[in-house]
Amino acid sequence: MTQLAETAFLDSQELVLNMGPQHPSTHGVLRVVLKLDGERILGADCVIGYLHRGIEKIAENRTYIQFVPYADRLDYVAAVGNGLGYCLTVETLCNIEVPPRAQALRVVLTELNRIASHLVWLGTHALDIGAISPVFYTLREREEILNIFEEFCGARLTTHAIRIGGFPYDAYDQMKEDVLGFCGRFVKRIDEYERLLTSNRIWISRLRGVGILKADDCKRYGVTGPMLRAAGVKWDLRKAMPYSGYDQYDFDIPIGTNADTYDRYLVRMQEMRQSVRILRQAITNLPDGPVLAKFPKVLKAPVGEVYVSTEAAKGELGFYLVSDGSTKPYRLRVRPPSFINLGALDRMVRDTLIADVVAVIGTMDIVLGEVDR
Amino acid sequence: MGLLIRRSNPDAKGEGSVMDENVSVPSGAATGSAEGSTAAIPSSATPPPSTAESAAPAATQPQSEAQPKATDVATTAVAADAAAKPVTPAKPVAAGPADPDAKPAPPKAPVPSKAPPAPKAPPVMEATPWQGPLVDAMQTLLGSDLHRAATFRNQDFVEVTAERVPDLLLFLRDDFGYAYLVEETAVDNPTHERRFELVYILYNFDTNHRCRVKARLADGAAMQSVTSLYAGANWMEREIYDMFGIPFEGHPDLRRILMPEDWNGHPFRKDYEVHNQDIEWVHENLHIESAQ
Repeated sequence: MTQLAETAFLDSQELVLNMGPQHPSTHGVLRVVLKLDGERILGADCVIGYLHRGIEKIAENRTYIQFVPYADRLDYVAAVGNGLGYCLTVETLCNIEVPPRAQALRVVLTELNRIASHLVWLGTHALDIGAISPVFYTLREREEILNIFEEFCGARLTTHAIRIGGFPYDAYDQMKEDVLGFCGRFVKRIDEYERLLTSNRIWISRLRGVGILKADDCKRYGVTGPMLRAAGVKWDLRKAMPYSGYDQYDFDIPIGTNADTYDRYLVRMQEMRQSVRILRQAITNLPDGPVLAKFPKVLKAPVGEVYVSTEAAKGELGFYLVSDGSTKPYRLRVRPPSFINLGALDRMVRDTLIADVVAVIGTMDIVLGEVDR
Repeated sequence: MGLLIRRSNPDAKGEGSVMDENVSVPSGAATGSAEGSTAAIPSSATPPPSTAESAAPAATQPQSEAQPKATDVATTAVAADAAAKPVTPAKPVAAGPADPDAKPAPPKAPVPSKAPPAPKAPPVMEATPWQGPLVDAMQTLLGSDLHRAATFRNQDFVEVTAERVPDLLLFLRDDFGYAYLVEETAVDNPTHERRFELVYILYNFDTNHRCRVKARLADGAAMQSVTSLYAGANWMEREIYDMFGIPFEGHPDLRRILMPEDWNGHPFRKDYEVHNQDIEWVHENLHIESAQ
């Protein structure tokens, strides 16, 4: 065999392969240029920016209040979380105190959206790996969440539900029953997903030991969210720097040990269970009172700068806001978890096989609307 | 603008009761803009020393803006905000006499003149000094290169000389455990002699503390890359290079990241208008008249 390989017509050379931007498993318009030696990856270069809209520039030309719906368009799979992050930033800068009822409602919507985001991740990730059926089930449950959003604010995807200071409207009459009903059904559904996947031999052999990123590397690359927790770091901004009353709720931070794709799967599955726990506490103990803080309609932020971050479904979503005292942000910088996490792709796929790239992109759970902004 | 805001939440409770605060007193902004106005008065008073005596234009300005103050209705508050914009070019005339007038008519003159000069004045943050062992350690490391250590909204930040940033970050990472570079970005302020402000946000997992390091950089100057300290800085510095045109020395792979490679211009600079585009690139690559 070795003698054959040395002949001229079986000579090997490096191959550059273009994956995306139109590729079903790149989850949007991500293009990855792969340098290959056979099936082994020598390097990966991400080409991004196909969805670049210049949201940070747009923010400088909109008032603080006008920008809220734009924030939803960052990570459109988890739009509520984006709106929450931006509104919290403005509220911190302007010292706006959000009423307790609005804070609890925010938690309800954000956790519902976290579940919805994880469901999209689970369905598409499993689809990429070759498990066709989970996506039908996950989108079925996501539909229930989107129906609750629709009932609450009229929109399903880019909700614009959260406003600066709270909410423009209160919870609808049946919301508590809807959310609790969803929680009851959904816990059983997570068990169903786990029966399909967790001990599935193909699933395990495709994910175990793939795309390892240890805790030190996560910190060096700034990788956060479930990827960091799967590496064994018990760090969640909802616990570390609680916002919107998260310190009142009893929940755990699931962590992994092996820092591989399979552990990230387990962590996200556990996170959905924890979200249900938070949801049940928040919706049953919803305080009474107003849902919108009192603040001037023409909102002029004081001169200053703040950085506020939240634990979004993908990781640390931060907003760095600089104000010059006018009605518009002087500079708004979004710290997008997808963008930063994607920066570690090359590190994660180097020296692995080309089929693993699909698994690694899936496990990162990126949304290109947030990567490109 | 204000009308839009008003329409978007018509059924909000308690909105009407805060209407009288609309004109110029947002909760935290009162002191901030007051500082802004005091800083603005010398700068706006210096250009027109001769017009300071002309009371006639000054009399018309406060009159037109005194109306919204008299009737505290939302629409007039909006009008006041809208009226505040066109006043900006005429501000030196209005602000000049506002200074001597401050004693006899304090409620009228300062309020309208306050809003326009605020963006002009260099930002004055109500920050309090930040003290502690970390600041002391940074002080001994940097000496006079540590310009300021302050806290704003419970967020600590330091301002340092740009050349010392890699030293400081290495020190903070290795000696104080700031192992995670949360964010690296830039802010453009063209009126400043060193127009770019680079911002590094660091986080310490052990103490759960976040701090910001800021440094000013002149246009055209290169910044030293911190990619060797924090691998995550790679893409963030590429983005700053792409959006602001700040080159990074020692960066392993300094290319544009979001904009096309051969795009002309750096969109996040303040002098790059929101509708600007590289029209030649658009013609050549998209085969359309305009990308707008």
